Amino acid sequence: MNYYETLYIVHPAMEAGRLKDIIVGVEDSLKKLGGKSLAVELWGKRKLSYHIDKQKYGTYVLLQYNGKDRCTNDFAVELEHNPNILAYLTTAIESNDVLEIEEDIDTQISGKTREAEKKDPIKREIITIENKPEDKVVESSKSDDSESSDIDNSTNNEAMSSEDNAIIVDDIKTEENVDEKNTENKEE
Amino acid sequence: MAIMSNRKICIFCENTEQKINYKEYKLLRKFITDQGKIIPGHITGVCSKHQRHLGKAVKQARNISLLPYSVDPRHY
Repeated sequence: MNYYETLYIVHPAMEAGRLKDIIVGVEDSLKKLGGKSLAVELWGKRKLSYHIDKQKYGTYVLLQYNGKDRCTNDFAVELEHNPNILAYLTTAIESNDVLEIEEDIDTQISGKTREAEKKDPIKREIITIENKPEDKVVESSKSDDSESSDIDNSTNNEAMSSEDNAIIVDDIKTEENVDEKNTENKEE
Repeated sequence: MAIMSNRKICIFCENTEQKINYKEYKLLRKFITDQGKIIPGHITGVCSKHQRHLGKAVKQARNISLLPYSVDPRHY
């Protein structure tokens, strides 16, 4: 019985539940081929050094197992035909190199998603920046309203005087209109 | 008269606990150029035995996209 490890890259679109399904599916296919999985380590989502299938990012998963005969060859064929796996690398290891991971796949996935959220402070800043001006605008609009109401109250008297002027102007305009109409009638 | 030698000492011979593995791509990054080429042992001071292991590890890391095959010098 020999010890092997396979590092494979899962499509970056797969997250949380779907990622778990793929990891479990790969383990099941390994069991069918006569292998026994010893440890699964989730490296998380990271940027690829070069594009694979037009993808910039990928989720790395390390699977350590033992098997014999053509286990690795058949497993490689399985991975090759899986559309969700971008690339894989199988190497032989010694029994001492097997990792002791106590965490389940679920806890690892949830931990990695939290880390990913922590690593994106820029988005949060943007959100806060976007929110702040709106609040300010709302506050300022409120304050504007209050101020404008105050101003309205204070300038009501002035406005009245200006309204009077406006009425006078309107009267003049109406008189002019009447004169124009009279001249038109005369011409007819 | 003591003979002064400028010969560098292999860091992997000095520190035997340091293993050369494709998974330790951050360490391997020190032994490739900006363009992605493997730096010769006579420049880094790595002995021929460990240089062979390094070359193998770098090629495995390239295969799984942990290290680049080549980087265009215009995009440094």
